Amino acid sequence: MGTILIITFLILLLLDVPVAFCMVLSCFAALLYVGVDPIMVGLETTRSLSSFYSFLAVPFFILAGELMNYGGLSQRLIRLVKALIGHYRIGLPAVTTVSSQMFGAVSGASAATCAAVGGIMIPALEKNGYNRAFSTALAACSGTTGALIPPSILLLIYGTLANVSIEKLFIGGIIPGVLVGISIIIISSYMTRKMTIVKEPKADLKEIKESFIGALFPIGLVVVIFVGIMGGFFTATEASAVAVVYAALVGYFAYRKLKLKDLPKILLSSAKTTAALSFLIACASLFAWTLAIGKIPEMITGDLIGFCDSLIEFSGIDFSPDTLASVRVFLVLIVLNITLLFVGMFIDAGPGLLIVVPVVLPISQAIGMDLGLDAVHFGILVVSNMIIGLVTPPVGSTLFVASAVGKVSISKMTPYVLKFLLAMIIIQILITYYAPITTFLPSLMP
Amino acid sequence: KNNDKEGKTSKPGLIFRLALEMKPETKIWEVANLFREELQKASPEHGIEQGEIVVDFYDQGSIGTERQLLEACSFGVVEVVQVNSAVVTTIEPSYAILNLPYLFVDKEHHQKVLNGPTGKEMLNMLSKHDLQGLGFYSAGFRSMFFTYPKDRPCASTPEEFKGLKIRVMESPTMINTINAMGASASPLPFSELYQGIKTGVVDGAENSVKVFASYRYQEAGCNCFSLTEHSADQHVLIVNQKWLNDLEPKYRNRIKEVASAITPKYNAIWDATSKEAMEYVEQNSVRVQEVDKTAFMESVTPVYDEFFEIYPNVSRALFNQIKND
Amino acid sequence: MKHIIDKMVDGLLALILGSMSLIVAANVFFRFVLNASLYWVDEVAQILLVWLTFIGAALAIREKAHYVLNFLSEKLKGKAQRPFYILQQVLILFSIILLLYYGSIVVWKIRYWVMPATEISRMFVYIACPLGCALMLYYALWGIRSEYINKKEHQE
Ligand code: NA
Ligand code: NA
Repeated sequence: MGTILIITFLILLLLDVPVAFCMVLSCFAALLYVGVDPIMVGLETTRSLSSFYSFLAVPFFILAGELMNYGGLSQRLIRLVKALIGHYRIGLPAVTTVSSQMFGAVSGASAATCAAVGGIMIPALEKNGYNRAFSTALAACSGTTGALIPPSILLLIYGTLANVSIEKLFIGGIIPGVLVGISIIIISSYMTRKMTIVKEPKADLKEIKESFIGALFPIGLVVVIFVGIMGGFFTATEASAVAVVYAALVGYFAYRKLKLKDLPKILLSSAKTTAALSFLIACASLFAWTLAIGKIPEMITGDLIGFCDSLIEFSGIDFSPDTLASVRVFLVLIVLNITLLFVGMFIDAGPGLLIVVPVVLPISQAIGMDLGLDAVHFGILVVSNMIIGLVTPPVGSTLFVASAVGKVSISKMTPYVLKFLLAMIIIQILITYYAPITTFLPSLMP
Repeated sequence: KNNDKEGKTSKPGLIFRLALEMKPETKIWEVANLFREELQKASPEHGIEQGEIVVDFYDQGSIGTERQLLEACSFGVVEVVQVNSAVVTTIEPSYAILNLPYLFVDKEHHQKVLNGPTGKEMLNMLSKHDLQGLGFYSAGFRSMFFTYPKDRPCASTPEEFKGLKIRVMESPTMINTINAMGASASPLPFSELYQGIKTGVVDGAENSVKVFASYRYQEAGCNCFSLTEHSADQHVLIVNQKWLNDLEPKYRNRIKEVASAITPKYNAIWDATSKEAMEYVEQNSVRVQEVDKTAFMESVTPVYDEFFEIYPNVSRALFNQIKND
Repeated sequence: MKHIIDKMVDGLLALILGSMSLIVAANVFFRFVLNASLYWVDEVAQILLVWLTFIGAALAIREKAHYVLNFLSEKLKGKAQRPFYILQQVLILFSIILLLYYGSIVVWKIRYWVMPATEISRMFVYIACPLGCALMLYYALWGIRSEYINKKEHQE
């Protein structure tokens, strides 16, 4: 059944059928094949939408981003940023990454981060000579880095499903999140060395002061969101709705750039971005459900461990029992990472984790990584791997949002995305095999 | 087909899907697990061999949340499901009675209702949704836990609960209950709860000691566990009615029989687990506070009238029947 | 006719997204300022998200905004694209009809079930699927028709 599902899906995908419909059709075929009532096609797509509460933050942050553009908030923020570091060659890409990390830390959702930061930064990057496809790829990849920095919706999902301390997962996610950010900035500076970048003239103190005062309202928005969440006044989802109202009020009353008659147009364009994305997530949930009813995840666990054991056997080397154990862990983690990367290509991190966690928990037990800080390490390496999937074609929600926000086709973004992916994969290897990256900070906790 | 090699029967006579949202650590999971294990064993008195019944087991919500499983069961996609009785409320409002505060005097009363004629009556209520209940299983009583100043003894009376923001499920009855007990109810999705306690969106929540221990709410800051034991939780095994009626009689009878036969085994597991969880809570320097329940029992009486206003179609007779059981 | 439907879809979407953000933000206000939150807000916001998704999916068909891999269209030029275009459209129409058919059955079967907080029939949530699919079907057929007319004009 798994074969039918995957093969039909891939063929339809290559025929340029929209991804969401590829999923509907391949699930329909697979369900018919195993004799499950295909009514699930109608049921699962609709109901899955109402079970991802945190997803509500996505349309709101997309809308807030549009409102900030129309209301003149983004422009003022960009002016401040430019005044501060615009005269460095790597200034704007660095700002995109850092603000994504700050924003992602607050919102907890990658697609929303990408929508909000990308909406502001992509036009700014392009204006200064950075190629649009590069800028969009940058917004997509840096959008994912905030997903590891607390509060992280994905780590929360993992901790809940796997019964691992959510606090420790959160703290453990900080260093990996920052590392990915740094690697993205380094790759950016390498990629842009041949582009003709307009460097901003170094701003004088007067300009810095003026742009800072001009940007007080947008800075206020960041402060409201951050204090609101950290202070416990509202959840991340509510914060996104507050951001919408805040941006609308400032744009209308303070800056007087937002007109009431523009409102339907702004709402409509945000609705379009959201709908294509959430319709895809609905269909991805059907896909995940179909995999689960076919018990594909369980088969994968067994096959994966068995494959590693036969590799060791095939090598013909006689390991001492201790070495054998660590060789086994080493191998299982390689195969696990490759498998998750492959899974992440097709399933988004949210629904993907729901499928993956029950599959990988028995694996963590089999290699003795299911207790204490080892469990934290294992959890973060799984989640950070799934996060990479957010920007890998063919199915990556953050990639899609970036493509919609930056109005660039995925195929044009792909060459740039691949280079960023390389950096992310290197960090993934570090996270996998150098435990202190994830366990050092949590080990300081009581 | 592969069963030949394992020395079982050559061909299973009955294959069906059994699904639940729980994971093994919750121990409520054991209901479905015992049900499956028992059914797969031989049963000479019904003429069923070992392995003749094969159960396709889906746990940990791998094919849906409880609400979704109930839908799937009604639609015939999944044959048997285990869900919390509170979830059934959305299709059969009478089930909401079971969550009324201080409805059950104690554990024995709870067991008597669930396993007696009243329970049976309620299991049969689901037929208009193409469903049939097989059995009820107790998941203990809910109590309040919250963050409280270290220098004061934990709140234990309706007056002391004033101002405490307690998370509840998004149901009017639960909101009324918590408000009537003195605290102020804050509806919040369960997924937002841990972070909500940590950041102070709410001061605490109400659930069983087992759930408290599993989610380690002490790490989010809860330092008080007040034994209000205000309402009971129970799970229910539900089967698609048409499927059950179309089965060969030997299978149908066996399934019904196993559903009640597993109750004592399950109860023993649950009691041991609750004891263990209570020890864990005490070891993690959470203060466990005994309360005088009579004050709370009085304060919640208006909730009953409000309940029958919200659910005009639910009969008071059923409520009285449970009270008198 | 198309003009009226366009206007309706646009208006509905703007209304849904606008009211979604307002009620969620209002809920923060209620809890923050009046210290009482509205228990139905999360549920209503989620119901609106379902509507936004399916009506919006129709808009996305109209504006060709659904995510496509664009693997084939970049490899093939001119006349070679034609049979694949027809195949794509047939597959898209088929999946919309599947969703429409099964979505309708779900609505019928679920009509007596209610939402936990608001107690409204779940029919009003699930009906977004067949309704959105009907609109998708309309826009998909309309898109094929205008493509056909375009082609004809080109040939003449
Ligand atoms: Na985050
Ligand atoms: Na992907």
